Amino acid sequence: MNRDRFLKQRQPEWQTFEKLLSTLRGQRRGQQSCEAISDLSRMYRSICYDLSMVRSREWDEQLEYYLNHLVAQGHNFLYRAPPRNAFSVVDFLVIGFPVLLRKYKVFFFVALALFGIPFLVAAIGTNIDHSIATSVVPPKDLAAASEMYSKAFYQSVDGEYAGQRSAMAGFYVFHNVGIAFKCYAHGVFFGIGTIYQLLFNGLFIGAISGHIISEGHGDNFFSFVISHGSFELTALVIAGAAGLVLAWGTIYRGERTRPESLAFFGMESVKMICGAGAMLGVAALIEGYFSPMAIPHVIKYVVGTALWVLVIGWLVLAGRGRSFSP
Amino acid sequence: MRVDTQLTVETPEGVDFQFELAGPGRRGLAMALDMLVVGAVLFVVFLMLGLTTAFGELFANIGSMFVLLIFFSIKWFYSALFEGFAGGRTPGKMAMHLRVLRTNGTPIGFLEAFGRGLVLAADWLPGAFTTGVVVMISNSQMRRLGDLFFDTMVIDESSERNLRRSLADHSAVPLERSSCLRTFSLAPRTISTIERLIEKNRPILPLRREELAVPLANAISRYLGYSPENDASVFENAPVMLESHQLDCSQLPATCFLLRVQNTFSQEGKSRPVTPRNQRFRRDDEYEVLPEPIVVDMTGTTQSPGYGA
Repeated sequence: MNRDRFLKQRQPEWQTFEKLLSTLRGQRRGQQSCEAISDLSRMYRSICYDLSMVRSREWDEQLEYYLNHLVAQGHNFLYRAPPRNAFSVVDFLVIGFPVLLRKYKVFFFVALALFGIPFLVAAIGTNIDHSIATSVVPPKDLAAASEMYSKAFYQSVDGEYAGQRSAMAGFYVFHNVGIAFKCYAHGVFFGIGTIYQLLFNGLFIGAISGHIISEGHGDNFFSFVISHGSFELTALVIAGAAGLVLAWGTIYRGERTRPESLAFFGMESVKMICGAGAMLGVAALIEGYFSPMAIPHVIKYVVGTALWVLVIGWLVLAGRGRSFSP
Repeated sequence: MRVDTQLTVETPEGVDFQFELAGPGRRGLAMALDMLVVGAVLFVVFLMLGLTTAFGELFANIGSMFVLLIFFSIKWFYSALFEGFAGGRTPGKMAMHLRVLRTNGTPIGFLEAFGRGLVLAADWLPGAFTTGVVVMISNSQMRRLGDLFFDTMVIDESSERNLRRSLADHSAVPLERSSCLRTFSLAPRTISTIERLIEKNRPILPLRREELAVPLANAISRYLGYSPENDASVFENAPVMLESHQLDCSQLPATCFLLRVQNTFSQEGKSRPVTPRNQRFRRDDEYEVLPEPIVVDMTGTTQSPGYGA
């Protein structure tokens, strides 16, 4: 084909492509019609072909720049992250997240052991020998913790309650999600950071819990923590599991290249940490408003147990039999 | 191995794109700007908290919840929201003309942006971004840990505009038509190869450039069928200026030849006003051009350069 015939034949399509692209750019995703998009992608592919033809025959540098520009625009428009709407986000958090977690359940159980064993050791050990608690946690903090749980929480739900609890809910979000995110991010150092954070948090929380129980405030303590603990402790362990998944990409490569394996496990783990973050948000609301309510402890135990059943049931059962690719 | 800050990405359709990667300096500046922005926002937020205390304890408490939530959101979601939903750019990156892309050249989504924002906490360790800088200088694409784990890279768009750098000014005399016995045209691609060799600001010593120019000059002179005997300008000893240095054409014959070729066939060369010097030569059509058989030297070693060395 000679250059002039080529230009004559192809030029109309380039102009159509440009026009179509600028129309589609001006529209929102919902307004774009299927026909227009498939036309665009067909024209994009044939322009790619034109570009390689012009390049290989070295017809015209100006033409090459023009076509390269067209291709670049088309590429930018066609290749992007899949659109996410509010529904797909909720769908992921409710269904996709438990499915993903079950895919990495080994990591979850390893993280659970890394957090749970030091927790139990510290909690039981403190009740046997109190010096264990003071060697882990500064005595000042221990005193503050037992002071906090020594009294009943609130007499009534009023304005003062709403104000103080709101401030505390903000603090819980900030503090707990911060710990979880740090626990996750430090997984990049071959998982050492995550393991350290899990062990340390297990010991620390275990020592404080054991101390409060040994001081005789067990009932106040358990009735307070049982409700939000379902979301909070589970989410902390999941954050640790996500950190371990992230680290797994640095250790295990399988049939991928190293950069591919880092990127693969990175993307899988960041979905897990998103779920864990959402769980911590729920936990903070419960911890801020429900847990300290002035209601009989029995109700808190019942609701707390129900929440634990809900969380475990959700994580174990949600999305079974559905192949989910978030 | 290429030591370069350019990255070529091939699309599934087999088309190449070139990206200029951003280094630690520009990225550090962008980050410092982002910190300033965050600092300013937090300052305003804390001022507003101060105002809420004036309306009583309840407002102060609820206000402090909002402050904590805003502080929290900025800390963990600042880069994720901007990079995920504003085309891979935080305000600092916009100011420095940087953009985050996936390594295949496509825009990043929220998850990548969020992930690399989280891993920033690890890149920061043990302080002042030490790990990030060490990782960046130890891989060829200047990616920090957050980039490695989420398959992203940061490109520098300010240099995209001047990717085709300005050519070195030179005043080489164009070849005469009569001296090229085989053909008097050259593919644009060949000319751009020459242009790349003589680009402005290319850190290359004249003698090294000569070394690189020799095989190219040999090939071109064979292709053109160039014979220095028919080239009147060889005897003129016209001085060749390159970036305001006069080249010694007896020492750097290949470079001088390439400059002349470039000046003869490139677009710029044709549109350049003809100097009075050139007008002294006879017009091309006054020479009788005789077709001559071309000797193709397969070994490429025995034949002496035909461009007048």
